[in-house]
Amino acid sequence: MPDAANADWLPALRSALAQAAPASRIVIEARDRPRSTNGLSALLEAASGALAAVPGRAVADTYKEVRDGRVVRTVPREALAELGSPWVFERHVLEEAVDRLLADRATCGSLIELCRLAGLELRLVPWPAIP
Amino acid sequence: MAGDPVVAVLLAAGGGSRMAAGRNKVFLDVGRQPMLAWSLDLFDRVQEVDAVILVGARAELSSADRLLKDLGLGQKVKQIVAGGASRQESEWNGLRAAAAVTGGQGVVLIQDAARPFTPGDLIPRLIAEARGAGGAILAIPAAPTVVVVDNGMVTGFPSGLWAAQTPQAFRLAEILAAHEQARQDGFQATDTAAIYERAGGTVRVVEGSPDNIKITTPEDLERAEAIARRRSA
Repeated sequence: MPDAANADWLPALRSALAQAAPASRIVIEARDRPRSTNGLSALLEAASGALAAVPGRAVADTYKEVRDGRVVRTVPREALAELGSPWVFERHVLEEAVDRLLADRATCGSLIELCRLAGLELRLVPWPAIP
Repeated sequence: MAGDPVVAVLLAAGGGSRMAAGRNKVFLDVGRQPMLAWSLDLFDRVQEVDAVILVGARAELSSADRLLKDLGLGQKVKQIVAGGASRQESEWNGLRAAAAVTGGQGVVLIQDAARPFTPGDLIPRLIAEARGAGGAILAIPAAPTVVVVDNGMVTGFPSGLWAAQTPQAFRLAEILAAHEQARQDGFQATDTAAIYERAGGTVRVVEGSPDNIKITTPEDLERAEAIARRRSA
């Protein structure tokens, strides 16, 4: 999937879902992050039972909440994670989320934004899930 | 040292275990010169910086001194001091040396030697913000891939989150007092600003640069080489 925020992103995702072979789960990989299919079973195993899942790892940087150019607080590293890819969705959950956002005329350009807007429950799986 | 001096504390004592290079990463070459040389050159060039305290690993102090002489860098280095067992301890040693140089007055910049691409034109603004507010850091907006998690689930998509960089600048007397308090309380921080924040200090944010990366892993080193090539092109 392209990772650009524009009005075509959600319709493109809906179209891709319509063309995908019958399956109960959908794996989505960023276009610029091709991976070997060797580890897909490990990813699917780790994501088993989740409505949506994505590899995540601990952050290495120190993050600050900033307001009006001033640090409000330092966020504990253990409270944050960096998301990678690929993503795994229960197909019906993703389709319903996309349809709902399209009906609401929402605009988004990434799976992160889609999950946020649709309020999807998102599970972290170990990074790298795929060797 | 007269007026309102500015001292840079350059932290170069890290073990660099994640780099797995068999030696301190700050001596690895990035773009045809050792990583450490970039920050030394930076502070040589920025007029607002009056002095530099170089903090090195105890076993590498002579190597650091030789590097300065061989490359003709570090004209403002007043002292090379041994680091401690942690970044925070190394920083403390550097701050005390800085206080000895300035009489405890002025502004101190804390810089990781593993950030070779700090833009020099941001330093004067950083110093000015620290003089006015007490503390100032370079930082960049967090990538949207950084999320809030709890118990293996994503629980939030934060906005207003910034990734801290170095240098970080503070009124020297105030950061020394904050550090002393942290030592007494056994408080461990992941950056200097967190110590200052804990003591109630104000920290302003100056937007940094995406190129101002911290080199920690071999992948970071590859990225750094790409930045160095782009800069020399």
